[in-house]
Amino acid sequence: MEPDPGERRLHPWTLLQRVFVAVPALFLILLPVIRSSDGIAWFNLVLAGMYAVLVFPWSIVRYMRFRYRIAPEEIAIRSGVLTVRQRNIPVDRIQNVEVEQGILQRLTGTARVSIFTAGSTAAEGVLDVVALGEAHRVRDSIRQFQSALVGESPEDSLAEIARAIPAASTDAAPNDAPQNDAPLFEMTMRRVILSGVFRFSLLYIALFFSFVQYIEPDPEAMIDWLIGGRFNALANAASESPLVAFLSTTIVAVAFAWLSGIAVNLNKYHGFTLRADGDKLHHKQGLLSRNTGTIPLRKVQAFIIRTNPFMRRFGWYRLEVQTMGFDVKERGHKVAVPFGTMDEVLRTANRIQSGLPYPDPHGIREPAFNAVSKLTIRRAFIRYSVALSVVAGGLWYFWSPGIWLLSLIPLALVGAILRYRHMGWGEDERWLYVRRGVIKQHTWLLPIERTQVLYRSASYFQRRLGLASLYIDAAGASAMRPAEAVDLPEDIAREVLDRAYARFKEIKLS
Amino acid sequence: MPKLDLRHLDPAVQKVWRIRILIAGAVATVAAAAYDVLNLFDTGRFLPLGLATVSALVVFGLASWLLPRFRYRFWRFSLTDEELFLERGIFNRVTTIVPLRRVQHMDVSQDVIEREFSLGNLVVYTAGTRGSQVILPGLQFDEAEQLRERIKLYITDEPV
Repeated sequence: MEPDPGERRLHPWTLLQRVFVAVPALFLILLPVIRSSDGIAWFNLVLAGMYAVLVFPWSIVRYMRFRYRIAPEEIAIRSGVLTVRQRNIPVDRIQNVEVEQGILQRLTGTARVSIFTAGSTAAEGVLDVVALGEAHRVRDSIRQFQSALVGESPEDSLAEIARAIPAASTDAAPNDAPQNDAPLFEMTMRRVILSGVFRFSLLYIALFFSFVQYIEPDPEAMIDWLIGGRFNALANAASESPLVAFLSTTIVAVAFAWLSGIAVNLNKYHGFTLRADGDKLHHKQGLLSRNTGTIPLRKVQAFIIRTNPFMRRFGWYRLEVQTMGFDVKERGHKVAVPFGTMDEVLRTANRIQSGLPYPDPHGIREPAFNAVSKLTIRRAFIRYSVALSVVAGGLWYFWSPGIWLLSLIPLALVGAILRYRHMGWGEDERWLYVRRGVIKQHTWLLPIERTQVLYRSASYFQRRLGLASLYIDAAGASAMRPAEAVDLPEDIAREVLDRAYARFKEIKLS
Repeated sequence: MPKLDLRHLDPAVQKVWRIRILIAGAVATVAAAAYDVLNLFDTGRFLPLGLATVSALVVFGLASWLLPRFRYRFWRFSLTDEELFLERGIFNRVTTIVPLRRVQHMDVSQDVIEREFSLGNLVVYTAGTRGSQVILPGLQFDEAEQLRERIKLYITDEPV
């Protein structure tokens, strides 16, 4: 890589600052040497020597190698000692430029410039130490180049969004009430309490018991104080029969879990409202602390409808909005409908982003899902059984009755069948749908226009059975729980992906 | 689909991969040998004498011989005006389509081993999660730079 004209180095203070930061570590290594008077801690001396011999030249080479260049169309940063890297960040991709000054930097009149693009929370480009004036120059020139870009090509995408969004909300809400007055979704008190009933979580029990353990009360004294001997009969029964003790403990625990769930939800979702205001969504909720938030509509990347078997049995769902932004607060999954019927969930989603296909003339319905290949049952069963066998084997090695864990293998089959039943995918002109999960049921509604990267993958075992998986990556997607459609027949996976990509291209061209 | 002109990586990348595996293997073998030497006279050894060292040698030897060849065989890519298309994987075969207008920024990088063979990587970043970083290894260094310049021309979309 030849040096470019216009390339700059960091401020020479970088070196001093890095040395300064390295000194405490050196001191820590040398501490035993300083403390022992006869210098027996030779090992630390050697370590310190190695540290000095490696770290200081390393810092110097790192400083020498680091160059940056701010051009009208991009920022180029070259860095690295062993691995040399040149990074190019197009100026129109930059979302934010931060200029920070710590204490050390304030003393030396320098600053740190962080350049953020969309995508990750970490800064994509960091100029560690530059003079404060230079920091401002960098920031201002990036802004200048950005506004020049917007000026010369009328930002069609932004204009498009500005046009699309009011249209979208009027389409979806053809009532005469002004937008701001009609919330998209509201939680009544009754609904909040009802949602708390479904928020049955053992977590709070665990918290309760750990608290009890922490304060270590004398149980008998406490019970006496609480009920004053009125339930002595019950207490005696409990001490005589372990079954009664077990039952009563369970009942108390369940009641506690229920009540705490209601209390937590009441605190969290009391007075939840979601409103559309121009190109933004506002939500506010909370009893003790009132929380408000804003979601810009164009940052909405996907919808996630969540439920569990219990909630689903009674027809309750939760809608989350997958968002994306350079700001940590703007990314991740935001709750749009904490607790609602499928009708409410879909209606709200449709008013957030119109074009969801299912407010069809016959009313709102769930999207039609296609099943994945039945072979997925076989794969899941083998996988669960192997996992179970490994656990059973490991347990058996230490404790021979552990082998009885293998009697759970029929459950693995049940699990595999349930997994198959709850897995599904669907597609249409603008959306891809994926559904997964037995206990935690997720349905993703992915707008094809929000696609970032498309994947098709097939492991060795999948290929043997002629299967493949499909995944469309969007910004802000969860890494732990991806919207991946697993075990589609290979040719269908290929077709669906090709079709989705073709649609993606069309959407943007039109 | 850009099925037509899929390209292989530069064959020299196999050597880079092999050297990396051999370095890891050397570390593992030294560790295993240290275990064997330290437990030389221990009668209650967990593993029979020499087994750790020999198996480390065999495993890494085989891996360094086979993995680079297969990895190279299954790695293909193509760059068109609209997308970067990758196909790779020995066990888990993955096809990736990166629409170029989704590219946020790019790296061209080269580590010490790659420098010996004048190879480089092109790393393409998007705003996605799994696809936040898509790596195309084993390019001639100047070719990686050329590809970067080509991709730059097509980054036209609005930011997320």
